[in-house]
Amino acid sequence: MADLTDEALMVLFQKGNSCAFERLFERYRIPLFNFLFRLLHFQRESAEDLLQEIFIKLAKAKDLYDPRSPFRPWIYTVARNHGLNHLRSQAFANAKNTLSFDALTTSTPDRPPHELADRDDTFGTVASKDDQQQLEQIIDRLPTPAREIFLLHALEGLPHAEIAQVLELNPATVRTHYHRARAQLCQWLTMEATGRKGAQHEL
Amino acid sequence: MNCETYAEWMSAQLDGELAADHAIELDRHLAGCESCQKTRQTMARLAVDIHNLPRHQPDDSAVIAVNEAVHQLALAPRRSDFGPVLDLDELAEFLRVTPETIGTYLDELPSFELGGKLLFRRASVEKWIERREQSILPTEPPHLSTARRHEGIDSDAILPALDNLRMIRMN
Repeated sequence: MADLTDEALMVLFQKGNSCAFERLFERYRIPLFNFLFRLLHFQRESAEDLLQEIFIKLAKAKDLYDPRSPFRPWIYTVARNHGLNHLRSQAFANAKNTLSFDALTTSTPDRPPHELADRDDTFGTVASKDDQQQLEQIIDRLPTPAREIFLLHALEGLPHAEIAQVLELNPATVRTHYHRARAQLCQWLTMEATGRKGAQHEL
Repeated sequence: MNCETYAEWMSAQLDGELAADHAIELDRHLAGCESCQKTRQTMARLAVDIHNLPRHQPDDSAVIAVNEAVHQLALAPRRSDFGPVLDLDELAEFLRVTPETIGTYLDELPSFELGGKLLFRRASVEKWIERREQSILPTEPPHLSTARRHEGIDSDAILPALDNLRMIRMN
């Protein structure tokens, strides 16, 4: 079953094979969680809830998936829609509580970004925690849809053509947004580095 | 042309997507722009840093909840409250096979068409099953008659095997 494509696993699941679904969940739980976690500005519990909700809904409504269409852009589309709906409902709730959207999206995650690298449930860490934390925060500053495109391509490895399906954009537009986002990140990183050097020089 | 555009070109070049004429222009600009040279270094390092960013793990409770929900769905009792007329999906559920399997037996299954929809009378289907049982199992299957030769054979053990055989042949 390990060799089967996502689409073949979904067909098996549609025929009642729950092991095929477990295999799909195993393949996608970490990539989708990482995408949601960053899309939701590091709100861990919300990302976990959404991950759970997406897969349980998928299990209940498995026949909604058309096996002729590729599974990966489909499941990322579902995840993105859930994530954006969650952010919108939070923005609405916060507006009612007279909180600003900026306050919500930049400074009120379940876990503040500076604690992100302290968790022991991460792996693959090589660069220093400070650098990683700074990079996560800088990526989080990107505007939509550049941030989504950057997360999907640079962090989750989706090709531009699949991202175009997820975001319902032209692949050329996705490519332009991606290069613009990477250029913007480099500009911000250079500014941060210059600022740090300046601060060290003053000390 | 400004440095922001050249930075976008650098990104495209890293991914092998920059047109040749733009690459020449970019090289010419880089030779004289210290700021863009720094940007290029940052961009090269960014690729490594992105690759090294941690992969966050969802809490075990979220994983367990999904697995439990899927098992609950898999264990959900099969439907048994079928009406006198079934459509193709209901018939598949009634016979515990896939709709595709039903498709392979459409030429012999008793059916009728109404409003462009293929329907099946449950009583007729049950008669079809009876006819099929009689034609498939006129005599005991060889492996069962062999089994009966053994002393002390439990008839309760044979019946499920017979049912299994019927189901296998029906599928």
